[in-house]
Amino acid sequence: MHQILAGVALVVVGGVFALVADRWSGRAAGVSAALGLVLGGAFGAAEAIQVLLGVTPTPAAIRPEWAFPLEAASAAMGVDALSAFFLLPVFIVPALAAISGVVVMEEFAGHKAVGVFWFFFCLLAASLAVVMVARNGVLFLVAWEVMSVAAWFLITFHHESDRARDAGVIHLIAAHIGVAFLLGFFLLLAPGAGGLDFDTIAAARRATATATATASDQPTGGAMVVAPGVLFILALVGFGTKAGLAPGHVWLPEAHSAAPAFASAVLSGAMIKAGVYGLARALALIGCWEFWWGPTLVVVGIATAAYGALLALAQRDLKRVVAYSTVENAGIMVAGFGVGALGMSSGSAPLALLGFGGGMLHALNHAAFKPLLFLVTGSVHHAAGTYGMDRLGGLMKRMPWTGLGAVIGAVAACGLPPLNGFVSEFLIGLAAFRAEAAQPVEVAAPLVVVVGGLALVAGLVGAAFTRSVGVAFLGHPRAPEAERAREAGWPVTAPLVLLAGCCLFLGMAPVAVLPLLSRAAAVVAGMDGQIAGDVLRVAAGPLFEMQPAVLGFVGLVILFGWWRARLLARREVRTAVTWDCGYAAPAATMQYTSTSFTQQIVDLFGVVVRWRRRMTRPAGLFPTSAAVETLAPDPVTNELFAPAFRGAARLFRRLHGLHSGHVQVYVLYIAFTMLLVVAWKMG
Amino acid sequence: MAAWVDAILVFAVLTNLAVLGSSRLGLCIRMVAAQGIMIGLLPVVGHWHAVDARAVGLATASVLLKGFLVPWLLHWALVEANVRREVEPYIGYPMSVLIGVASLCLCLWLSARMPLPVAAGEAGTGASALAAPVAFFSILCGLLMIVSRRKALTQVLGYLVMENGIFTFGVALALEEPFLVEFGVLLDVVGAVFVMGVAVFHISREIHSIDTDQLSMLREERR
Amino acid sequence: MAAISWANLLVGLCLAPLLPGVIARTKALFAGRRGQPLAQLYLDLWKLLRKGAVYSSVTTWVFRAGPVVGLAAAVAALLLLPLGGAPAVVAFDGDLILLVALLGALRFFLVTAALDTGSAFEGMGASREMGFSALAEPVLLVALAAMARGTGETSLSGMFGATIPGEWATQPHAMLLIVSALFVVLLAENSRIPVDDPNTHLELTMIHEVMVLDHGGPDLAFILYAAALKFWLLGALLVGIVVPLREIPPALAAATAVAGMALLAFAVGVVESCMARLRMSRVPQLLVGAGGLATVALMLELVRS
Repeated sequence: MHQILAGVALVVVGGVFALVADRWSGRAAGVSAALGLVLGGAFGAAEAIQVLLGVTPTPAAIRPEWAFPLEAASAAMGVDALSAFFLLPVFIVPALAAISGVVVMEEFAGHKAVGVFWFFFCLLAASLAVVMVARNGVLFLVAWEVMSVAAWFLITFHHESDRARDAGVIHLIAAHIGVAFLLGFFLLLAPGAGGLDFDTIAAARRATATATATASDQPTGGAMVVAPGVLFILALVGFGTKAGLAPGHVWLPEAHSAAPAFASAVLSGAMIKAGVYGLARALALIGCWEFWWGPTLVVVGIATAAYGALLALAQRDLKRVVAYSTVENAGIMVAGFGVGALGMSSGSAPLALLGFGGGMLHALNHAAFKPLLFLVTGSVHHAAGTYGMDRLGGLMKRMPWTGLGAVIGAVAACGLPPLNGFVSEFLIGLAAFRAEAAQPVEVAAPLVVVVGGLALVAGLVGAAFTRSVGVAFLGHPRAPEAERAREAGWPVTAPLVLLAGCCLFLGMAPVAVLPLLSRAAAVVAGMDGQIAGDVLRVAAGPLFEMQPAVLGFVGLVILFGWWRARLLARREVRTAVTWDCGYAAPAATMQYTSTSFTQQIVDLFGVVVRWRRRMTRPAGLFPTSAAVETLAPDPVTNELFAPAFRGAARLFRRLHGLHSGHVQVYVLYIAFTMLLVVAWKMG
Repeated sequence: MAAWVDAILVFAVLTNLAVLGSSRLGLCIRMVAAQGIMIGLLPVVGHWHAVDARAVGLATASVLLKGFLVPWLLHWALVEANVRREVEPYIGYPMSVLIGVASLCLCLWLSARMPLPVAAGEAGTGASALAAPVAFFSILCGLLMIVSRRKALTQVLGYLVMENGIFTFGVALALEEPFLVEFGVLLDVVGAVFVMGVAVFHISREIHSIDTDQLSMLREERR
Repeated sequence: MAAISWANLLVGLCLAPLLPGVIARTKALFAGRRGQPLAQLYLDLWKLLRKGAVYSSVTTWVFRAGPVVGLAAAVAALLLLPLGGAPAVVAFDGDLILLVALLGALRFFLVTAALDTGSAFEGMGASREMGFSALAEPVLLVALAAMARGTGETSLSGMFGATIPGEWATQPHAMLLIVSALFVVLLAENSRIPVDDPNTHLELTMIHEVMVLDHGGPDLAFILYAAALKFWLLGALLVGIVVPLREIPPALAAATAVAGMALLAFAVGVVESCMARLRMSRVPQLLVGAGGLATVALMLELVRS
């Protein structure tokens, strides 16, 4: 525990130093922040791994007294396996992102508040860690709020652009709507428990649960007045908004595409996980499982995943593709939790552990490949100055390391072997298939949705990422800026290589991660870590046979590669122009563009995604120019939230009459309110 | 005979999906005709051990009407009205099929919870576990066709599919005196289809289209 | 058990290139021609493997990785494939997910290799391939889910094992639906008529062939062989259901399975001779329809229990 807190402190110190060092040079600010993040991250991650491995015998917890004018508040903190599991991305991702950020931020040094940016970058990382270790509702919410505000500063770094400012506003609105639900969740969780410490809450809920079990015909005592279902909905909406579940995802693509790419890596790799962690923690705290929760989580998760994949397919901006893919992955994680919840409510421990474990492993995997992809887009933007896929192309030759990172990240994001995205989707799919084959209909039916949904999502994501890699990195450069692009140097490529290594390791040696997983999943399922480990090892047994099969696949790749090299060794290998069916003057603009690649499949789902086309038709006998532009705005924003907020604005405009501008009237309001309060208190 | 009843019901499901997913009006008419014939055989096949004259009469009547007479009429309207033989849906074909599959799931779920007079799948009654869900599914498919297609002819087809659903429900579940109700519904449908067929023909002659959107020009103008 | 599994793997590796020959001969028969030799693909492979290579100057290592990864994925998937009721070399719960994912990896690298050439034609093929397989993949998995529900098994070797005859006896409708769905998947994934016409000479109408225009020599040999293996893979799943002979010696079972594969190739040839290729915009309808069949089969299996 203390080591983690020391890590957090180091991170904060790094941020404060950055604030100061910015007076001398922007680079110094970046370096001191990165140093703080790397050192603090190493400290913290080391202890998190120890807790996960069970080296630290009992989850250490501290409860410092807190002079806070609120009875329920305390600074209780602790690390159990669930916290430790989610602490891993929180400590590692910002450190790696910061290294590449140092180079990226240099161009803004001098004319932008780089020091302030780095301070909030560190503050975001630190507050995320506090969110994970908080063991008190008030502390949790305070850290949560700091996290949201710090993220706002990262999102609005390019505040001179309208889009970044809008993104910031949308982020703040979404964050606070989410917090409203969370506030309700924590207040209703255990009224009368005598505090908001998680331990107290858990004890109170256990007590009422046993009381209900022994005397089922009597209404429960005053402690547990709210139905668990209400708590579940509050937690799902509150945490789901942060995690990016549709329709609460609308802030996510905007925010992720507005922030600098390496900051988006942290937003997506670590901050989204706070929502997922929160959901897992909330499920554990509620402590009972109603049947409909599982199907709800499954349907919400799969719908989100399919929606995110479709929207990713329709985007033309490299970074927005990656951002929508975050929505898709959040959906898969929650679908995994849904499988787990079904296991809990049907009393099947293997199903529950596989579901929760698969969901959390997907969170970890996502924390490896998504920052990788964001850093790739950052590297591309640094080199070519644009995220627009249709102005890129041919980058693989010019930026080999970034290109390699892009291919590895894309294969991982598509959930294909031998990379890590496949492993977690395999676990979730395995759980779904097993239960679908053997369990009663009411459990099996929702899992059918998982099986079919995951396959559809895999297909759509496959199209989205082959397109992104193919259009941005392969073929001819489509614009001069892509022609000029070069690698930016080791601080940008080294984190890419490290993250790609993580993806490879997690994909080819998933068995090594299983022990870490079982303890974390056990917390959600409310089981003993040791027993859960044994159950999960049996349940995830196919993993032990899948791993050699995947390694065999890699071996075959090497074997065939070697065979072809031998075949071609003594023969003529020539280079020529692309065949192109004999056409002699192919131009870069004739290549398939990002929208033409996906038009066919997006059109199929025209009910969900609406293209918006702007077309200048060729006119006259000798047309000189013609243009077509397609955009795919988020239908949820346009057709759900925009009208809703317009309606709200109309409503509030009616209150405008109260706002007269005369001081006298305001004094009257105050006096009137006081009078009312006094009357209410006396009456 | 239970296997054959199931086969007929599965055939009904598949023809429903095919009608939802097909773009050719002629094919849709043939599909609905085939469905009408198969469903019409249900009274005989489903009550194989106690076939009586009434069952045979009902089967013959419905096969003749829904399998031959009505499709012939619709085909005649199609040829005479000289319309484009595309279905012209508001909802795309793949999406229609997906909605169809989703509503099949819904029907299975609903009918598992519905108190039915004859316990589904019970031995000896001739009632199949699939009968109720397939009946509901046909009704929903018919509704979907009426709602989501532009042409008046497809709406007639939807009406027929709905009727097939009601018929299935009555016959396969062996309700009390089902045939009486059946004959009533059958007569209704035939009458309605005749009226609609004639109306479609005349409408197309008057305004050169059987697109129901165009019918909205007949409404009173709002002031 | 191990010996027969390895023998079956070898049978697959050796006989897979025969099936395109059977299809071609069937089509020739219908057209009243003599047709190419049955072993044409073997000859083609032998010829291509002895050639040099020409690479486009636009391409990178991604282009060269495509055929290698594709072939490796196809062979690795073959390791998971049961034949004639005998278990596969590698069998575990959920191996069908790995099989589908390996086919996905094959597609990913083939498509990126096509895009690497910077050719508009190959981009077109790549786009179509991804679009159609995004629809075919769920159909395959839902059909397999129906099998899993029916047999209570979650590994391919279990599903296609001894329980198949019983399944035909208890759930004939569902099995029939699964077979038809799988047949559509087979046609779509292997770029056969009515989805794609492998014999067309107009690049605008092709899917798979247009993607590999720029490959030559050993690379093309790898791709052709991987395509033949992919046909064998999906075909063996279909034959595993259609030929429910399980109570016979494993060698005989394998022989009947191979005969079944030949019959399947013949059936595909008949389909190709009797049907025209669908318009591109109609292909999704076909695949969604197959998805409907698979889903109805799954519903039937779910309702039964």
